[in-house]
Amino acid sequence: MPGPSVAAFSAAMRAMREERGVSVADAAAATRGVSATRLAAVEEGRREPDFVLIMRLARTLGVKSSEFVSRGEILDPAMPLADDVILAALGRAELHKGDDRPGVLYVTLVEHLGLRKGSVTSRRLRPRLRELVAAGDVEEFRRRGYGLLTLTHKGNRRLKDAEPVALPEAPQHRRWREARAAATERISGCRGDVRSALEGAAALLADEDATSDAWYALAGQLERACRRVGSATHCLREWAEPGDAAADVPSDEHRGRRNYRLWDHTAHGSGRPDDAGSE
Amino acid sequence: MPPRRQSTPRSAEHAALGEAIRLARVERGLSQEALADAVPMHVTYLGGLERGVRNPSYDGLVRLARALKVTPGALVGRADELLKTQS
Repeated sequence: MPGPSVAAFSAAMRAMREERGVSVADAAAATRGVSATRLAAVEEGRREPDFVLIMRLARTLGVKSSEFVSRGEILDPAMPLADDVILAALGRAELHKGDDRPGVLYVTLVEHLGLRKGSVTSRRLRPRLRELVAAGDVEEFRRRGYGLLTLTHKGNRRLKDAEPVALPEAPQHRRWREARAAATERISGCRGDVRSALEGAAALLADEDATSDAWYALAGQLERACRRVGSATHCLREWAEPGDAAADVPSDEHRGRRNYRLWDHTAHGSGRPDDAGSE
Repeated sequence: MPPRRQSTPRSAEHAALGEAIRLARVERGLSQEALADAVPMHVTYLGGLERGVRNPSYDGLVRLARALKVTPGALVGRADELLKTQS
């Protein structure tokens, strides 16, 4: 049986630290006997981890040391993907869809496995999926031209009976984490934009000769700036950390407040609703 | 000079890992010598690992797991389980 490579293991360590929003410096500070320099070197694959480091970092991050190792096996292109891991990822992908209709796209399954879409993943995953379909654990079907995957009753039973596996970070948790990071970084700048728009308003009020163009430009500027602060505030304070056990679906009035990627592009801020589902 | 032989495990985790290695070895019906030859590693080092006084590198864990015909995740997972039942 081949073992996962150190590179895949290092990538797993880094991914699990980042998923918890902990910096290298903070992780090292909270871990006895591990310096930031050493931790960074291990994550970059320049130094080899040993059991003390694995165990202590696991404690810092609140995971079991075996989770790093299992995660490395998922990430390593040379390791076969275990049935239990694929079934658990498919089960979670269907749960996080947030509606009752069965079936998720192949790319959604790939995301839940923490893998990159591409031929390397495809060569690892497709044959395993075909075996699971042949065994009756997974069903492939089409809806409106899209190929979808779903757990059969048999697959669901098998998943319930299996030992729980440590899956990579769920896409909905990654969205939450990335939105928070962006909001933390940007919120004071966005508040500054509101302030300068207000200063612009004061200048216009003082100016009897202000044109209609100037007023309309100000209106757009002020609206964009306020929406950005509102969206960042929502991401930081109102968006609860999504757990794995349920779909994280925003309420209707909060749709569009979670997509920080729109901050720099949207003229009206309402934007595209969050991509909570997979289709 | 070789390191002095120690008898106290480095930590509860090391003791649990050592126990997981010993259990996996015994289940496969291997002596310490036979497993050490298969890895390969020195039998004294393997003895130290099983007593929890040595600190294996990640690569060492992978090679050991391969010789025991388990995944490294399963080996470390077993150690996690042993640790849980102790505490």
